Amino acid sequence: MPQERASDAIPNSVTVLIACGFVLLYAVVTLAARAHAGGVAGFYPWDAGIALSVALLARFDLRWAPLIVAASLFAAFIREGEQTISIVAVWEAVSEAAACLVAALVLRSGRTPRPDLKRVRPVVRLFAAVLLAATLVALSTVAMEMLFSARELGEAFILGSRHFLSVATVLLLFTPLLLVCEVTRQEAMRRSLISIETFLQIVLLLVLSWEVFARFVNAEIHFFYLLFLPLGWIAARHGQAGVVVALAFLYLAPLMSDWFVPHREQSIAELQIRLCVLGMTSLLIGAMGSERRTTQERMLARQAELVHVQRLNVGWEMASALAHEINQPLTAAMNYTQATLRLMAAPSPDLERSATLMRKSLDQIERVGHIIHGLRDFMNKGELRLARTDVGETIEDAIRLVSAEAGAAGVDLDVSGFGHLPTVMADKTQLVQILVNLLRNAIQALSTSKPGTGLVKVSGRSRNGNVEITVADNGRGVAPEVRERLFEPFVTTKSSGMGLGLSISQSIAEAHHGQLTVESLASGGTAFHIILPSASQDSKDA
Amino acid sequence: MPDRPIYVIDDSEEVRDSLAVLLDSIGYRVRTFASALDFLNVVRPGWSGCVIADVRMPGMNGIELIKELRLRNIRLPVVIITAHADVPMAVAALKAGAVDFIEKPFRDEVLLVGLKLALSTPADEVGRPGGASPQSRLQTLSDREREVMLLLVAGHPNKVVAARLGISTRTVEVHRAHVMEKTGATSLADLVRLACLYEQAEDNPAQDD
Repeated sequence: MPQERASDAIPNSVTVLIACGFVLLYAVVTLAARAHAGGVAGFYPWDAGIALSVALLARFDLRWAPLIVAASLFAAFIREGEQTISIVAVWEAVSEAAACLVAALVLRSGRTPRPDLKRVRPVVRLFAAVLLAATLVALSTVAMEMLFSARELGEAFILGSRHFLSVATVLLLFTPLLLVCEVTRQEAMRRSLISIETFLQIVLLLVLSWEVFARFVNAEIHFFYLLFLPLGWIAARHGQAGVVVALAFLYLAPLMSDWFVPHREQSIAELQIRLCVLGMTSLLIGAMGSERRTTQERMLARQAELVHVQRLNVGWEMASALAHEINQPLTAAMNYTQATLRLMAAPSPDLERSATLMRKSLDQIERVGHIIHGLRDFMNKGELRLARTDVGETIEDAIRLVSAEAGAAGVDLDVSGFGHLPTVMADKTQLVQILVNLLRNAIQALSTSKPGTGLVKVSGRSRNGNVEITVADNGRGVAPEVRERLFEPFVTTKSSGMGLGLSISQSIAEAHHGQLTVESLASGGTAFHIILPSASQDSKDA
Repeated sequence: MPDRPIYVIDDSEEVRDSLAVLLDSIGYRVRTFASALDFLNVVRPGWSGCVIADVRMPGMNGIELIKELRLRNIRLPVVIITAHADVPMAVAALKAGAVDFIEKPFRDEVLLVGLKLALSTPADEVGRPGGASPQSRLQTLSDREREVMLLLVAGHPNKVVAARLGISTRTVEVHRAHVMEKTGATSLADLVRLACLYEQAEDNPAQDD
């Protein structure tokens, strides 16, 4: 059995479940389409069995094809109540399976085995598959009608075109949902759908469907164009996931409304032409919408990643300086402890002195903890988490991370004016990152100047509901032509370095609804200003 | 021996203080200085004892201090301690004439060995590059072991040494173990000191003859 061979990918029990589910669903869908049995005997314009079959082959395995023949025959058997299987039913079943195979082959020819309808190219491939399958079914119908029912070519051709329309409609409206149903469900779970907007979209779709498919279906076919309104809206807001659900609904709407207001054959053909156009348009718009959204999300993710990578980079660069910073208190702690051990080993130990030394040792170990904690926080990956942040504490953290480097370069750090600043809404880690970038730039710029003369001043002030943090150095300044392009990526005056620090710092400041600006000081140095909105507007300026 | 003072020079206050406490508990007399310049301001020729100096300090670093002491003809032995040691720094310190080169943080035994070595160095030996270790140990090395040692001392990791010599990393590890064993070196710093001696001998073959 072919479906058993397919089980190398899927567990056996699931295979049986899929097979049974498929045959049953196929029968249900086929029987549902029987509600409208008008004009031609044996032709059901809303029969979506083939949509199920294409989805089955495209999603699971081409080797399921024989099951389609079986399902089709089974459906024909209950539908027509035939005692023996007619040659016509076999012909129809085999030609349907063949058409599905061709369509599935086209759908699976892309880079991913399962078509990703969120991109335009797979959608176009879906159109091609639909066209091929519908043409094959139509041709087979023409041949069958001429061979077995001995119809004229013209008559057979009209029947063939009716089949073409019917197949194209159900494939365009119903297959997309079956192809991407779990993605759609994930999307629905991820974004809360319970919004007034979604509710309005559903209401509009329901009302318009009633008007188009029930009330005016046989009289005012041009009302159909109203349906483009909700579809466009849904495509814009929910992307392809919304579109496939809406299209599946538009497949059900005429099927159900037929029970209330019987459709004329002519109206059905007219509806199906328009539904095909609507389906294709919406799928394309939906794919473009989804593609754009994916691009945006990816860009945001890349930006966040870049910010994190730069932080890691800086972190590792600082690690050697920090190892020094950590070794100092560690050395002191070891010395105190060893001295205590020696004191304790004396004939009459001086317990008081020992305790003092142990306390000193403890202080030093605690300092090591602080440094490591600061570095770990700094290198931690995380999304932008805005919270009320104390600017003074943030500066302290940044200073602790760069003080080793400043010490080694013989640069003094001077911090003032952070006592009475209002808090800001900021991600502390990212704010520390800007400060570390600016401080290290300043320290590195001053490292070539005469030892003991380099000074970096960090100051803060509150102004017009903003907090302004200034990092100023007394170095040689930045050349005007460099200053203009300072915040562009890959612009650097250092011999090593990517030139990303300032560009990333600026994007962080902007993500905080703030600014990062540069100023050349009259005294020759350079000052950077970080301007951030205060967390509470009501806190009075100092 | 403990009657001779130890001069501790380190810019980090907690290291300075803790070292003073430690040495005091052992029984040494200790004087501390926050910078090399502070020490140079008071030191006079003829002082006895020993100096413990950090490398990375603002103003003048520990290695520059050794050279300055030499220029002033002050024969105080110097033990270098550093929080971020690397091979080039160890080489520079020992070539300048440091008696020992110790990484922070350290066990007091290690420091005491360095101090004893320093205090037992005769005044006219002070400042001789490479300290006072016997040189003959190097003679026992095979050619390949000597090559491995020189590359290691130049600061190359095992992998690079292996690639340079066209042998496997495993083999380098074996050679390295042999080198350490034969020379009696307990650390890379120890090995560097020996290598300095070796280089000196290479530079002046006449002296060796």
